[in-house]
Amino acid sequence: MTQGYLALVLHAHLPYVRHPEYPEFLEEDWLFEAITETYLPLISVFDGLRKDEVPFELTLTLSPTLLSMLADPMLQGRYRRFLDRAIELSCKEVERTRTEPAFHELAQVYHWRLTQARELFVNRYQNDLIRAFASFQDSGHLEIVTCGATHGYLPLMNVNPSAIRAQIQVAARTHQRFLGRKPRGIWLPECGYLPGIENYLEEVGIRFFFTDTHGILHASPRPKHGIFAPIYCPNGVAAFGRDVESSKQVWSAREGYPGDPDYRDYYRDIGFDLDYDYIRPYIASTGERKRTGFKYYRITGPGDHKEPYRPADALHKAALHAGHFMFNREKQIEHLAGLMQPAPIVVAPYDAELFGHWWFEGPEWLNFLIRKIAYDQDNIRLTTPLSYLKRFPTNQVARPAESSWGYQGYHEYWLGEKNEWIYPHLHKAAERMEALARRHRSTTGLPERALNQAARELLSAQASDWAFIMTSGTMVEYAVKRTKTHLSRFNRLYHDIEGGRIDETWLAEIEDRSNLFPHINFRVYAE
Amino acid sequence: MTEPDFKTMTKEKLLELAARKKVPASARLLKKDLVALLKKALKAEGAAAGGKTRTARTAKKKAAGKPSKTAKPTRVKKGEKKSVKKTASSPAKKSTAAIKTSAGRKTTGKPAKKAGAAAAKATARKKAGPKTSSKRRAKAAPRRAKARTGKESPPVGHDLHPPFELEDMAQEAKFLVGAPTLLDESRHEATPELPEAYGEDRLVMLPRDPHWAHIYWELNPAAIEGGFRDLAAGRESARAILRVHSNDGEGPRAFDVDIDFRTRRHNLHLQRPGATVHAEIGLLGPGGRFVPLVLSNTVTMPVDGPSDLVDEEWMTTDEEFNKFYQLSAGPDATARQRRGGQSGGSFGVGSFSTPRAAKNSGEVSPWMRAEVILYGATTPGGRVTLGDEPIEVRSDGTFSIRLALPEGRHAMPITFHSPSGRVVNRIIPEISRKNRRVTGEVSS
Repeated sequence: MTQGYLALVLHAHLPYVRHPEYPEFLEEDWLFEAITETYLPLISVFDGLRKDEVPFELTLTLSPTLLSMLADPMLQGRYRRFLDRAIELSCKEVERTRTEPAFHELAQVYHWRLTQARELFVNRYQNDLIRAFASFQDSGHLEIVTCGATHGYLPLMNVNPSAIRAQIQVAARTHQRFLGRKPRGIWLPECGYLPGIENYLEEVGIRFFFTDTHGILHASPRPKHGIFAPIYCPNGVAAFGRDVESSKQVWSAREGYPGDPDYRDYYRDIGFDLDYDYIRPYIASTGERKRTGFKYYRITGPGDHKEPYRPADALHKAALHAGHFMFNREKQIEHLAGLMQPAPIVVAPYDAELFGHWWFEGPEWLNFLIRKIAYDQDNIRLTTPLSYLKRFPTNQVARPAESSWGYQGYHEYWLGEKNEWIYPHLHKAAERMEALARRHRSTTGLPERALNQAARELLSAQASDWAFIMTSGTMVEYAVKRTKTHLSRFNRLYHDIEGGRIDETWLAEIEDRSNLFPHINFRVYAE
Repeated sequence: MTEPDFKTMTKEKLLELAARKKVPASARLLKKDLVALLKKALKAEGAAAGGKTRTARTAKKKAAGKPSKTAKPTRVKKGEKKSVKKTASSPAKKSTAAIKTSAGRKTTGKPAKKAGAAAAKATARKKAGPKTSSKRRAKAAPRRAKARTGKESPPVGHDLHPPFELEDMAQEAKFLVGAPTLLDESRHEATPELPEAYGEDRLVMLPRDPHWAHIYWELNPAAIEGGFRDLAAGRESARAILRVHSNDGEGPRAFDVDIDFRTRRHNLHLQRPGATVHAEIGLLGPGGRFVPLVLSNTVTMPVDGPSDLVDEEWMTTDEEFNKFYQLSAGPDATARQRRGGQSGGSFGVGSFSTPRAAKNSGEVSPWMRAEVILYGATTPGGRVTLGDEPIEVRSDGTFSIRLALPEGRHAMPITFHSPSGRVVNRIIPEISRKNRRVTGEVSS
């Protein structure tokens, strides 16, 4: 008998990185690696489950920037080039490792995976991964939810509420354009919630969102069932809280699954290990070494010594870990079910890119987990927030507390000494955007194009990824450059529009460079 | 063991080494902290033959090093202490700790106390097999919960956020392709610089967590000059002040912080989570006269504990709430009673929508709502704001605004601006609403 529900939520997002002005661009690899190692493997897992008629329901965010990149023909073309080069390297690796059986087998595995990826991407899905994901939505297996338009960190935008509103409105419209229906749920960027945000969600018909654990636990009035039942905000939008236990089980440094000695080591990569002349064609065009995705070692244990990776052992471990995870959820739900009515829900959200890209075996773990839940027990069922609300429509009314899933649970990861300098500029730009939109509401022609571009530049500058990278210390230079570039373009557009002297050549150039949200309507800032 | 040359290593290389050495280091650490962590780990490794590690003692010593100025010293220490007790169930929790420096900034990444022992236990647990350990945990959970019921509750913020290093590292791995610098041709393209200032008087407050707000400002020299003129006192005797107004439901408070106009940013420590706060920058004369120069937006600080409000339809006892709180937040967390005051989080200028009941139960539950009308007058042509939001002023200078009044205590700061834009007056009505609940059968 079903005693409770497990809602697995995968949040797939990458910032918009597209540089037509350069023949190749390293940061575009973020997308290409994610497609190869996360999105295609997830699609294959879902496809296998559907073929085998395994009952499952999952929630997946496809952020508007990710959707826009997946749909972009230029990036699709560059991804094919990326794959072709990787396949070429895999052929060389199969040759090179002929005398080392352990690595030879792995090189063949990589070769097979890459050619399979090409087959799926080019032939089966014809470059259109959005359609692939949408098909699981149509078959009732995936609830695809949206995110902020550019993953802007909403709690720190409250100085200009119109900026929050625009992030939500543009997201909802983009989602509908790509997926053919309005989003019914949202993953708030970085799980950042501020009381009142639900009003903007309600405007676009969104019915649920997620918060971190304390967002629900510290809600007002007190939530009777903690995070194990959703609450309704006063306006009727539902909030679901993240379960600490299931997150920790996967990700904590010492207990977490991905640190298992049998799993593939993320850091050892032939891009850094092999002879420079041999690997030169497959690293950065400027000659710097970079990751290639060919990793031959398993985590093994502490210390430098690494043993060759053995895929069969890792797969076996993924199955064990899936069983462990399921057993713990069963026990958790069994315990909760005795304490509450209606049936409890455990919400387990994860960054989708962690599956496959970081935790190589993650997609297989998910595959095992879903199959085990379907066939090996009766206590728990997979669900999505909407399915749960359909079954249990009466819930407590309370307003969640301000929170995020970032370090310490609030805003400091995006508002610290390394990134606080961006806010005076971001706020000023948002204020100017609103003023422009109000003043030029009925404009057409060139000024309208300039205003739409100003909105694109502002949204692009607001991506929380830049602030995140500034604090994390990886690729900082790029994040700073993107922030400053978008804000500078915005400022110039502002002065040009106000001064009535728009440079059409320059406008066309930046329209080509920042081509995100081609159908954007700047009036969203004036509504 | 020869120590690697850390100086020449990139941060990514350091992280790589940390991962190889199984040092729980996040890429969020500063490079110097990472180096320190690695040095310690290597030292411990070297001393492992003798079975000695100084990690725990060093971490403790460091944590105790700056007690008076640390921002959340008690919470950090408690978190660490608890982690030690919890070694068996959650060794991950003690692998990092947050330490505030005297400047109020955080550096992270104190190494795990007895990291070696924790790792050994983790390994032992894995060897014991997944089912055994989970059974033990499942059985243990309610017992621990029971044992803690009724005890004074510890702070909860840290408990809800155990540092999941792997998650941090993995999230950052999305952005790792090579070295942490631009590797492509775009490095030859100049990065545009942003304006130093926008030529306006502006003061903005951003809550960062329940106890800290980040404040930034811009002031025109003319405004400062005007302030000195208004103060009519010598420059030497006037102080630049950030005056902070806070209301946490127990009445308004104000305090001053000396600032330097030129720094243009400040991190402000606030005692009361959930308080409604705004600030102004101005000049304080020798006689205590204050000339405001610029007023900030009003913010509500995040709360850091459970609400004191209990829903009328779902009466929730402390015991019952604590039960779910512990299950939700982990066995060591218990609902902490906040030191008085209402939750300020449910009322803000941006959220004056009329509450309505959830629309899915199919039948109408009895309900009542309350609203409040604020009205008054100002000089015709003047501006009136509620918090940051302007209120419409009629041509004769009168205004009125009708607002939903949820339960709780609310401050509604009304600011009057002269036609030239100067703040001339501020009135902060404080209104509280509390429903008395009658449960069981009600006779008419």
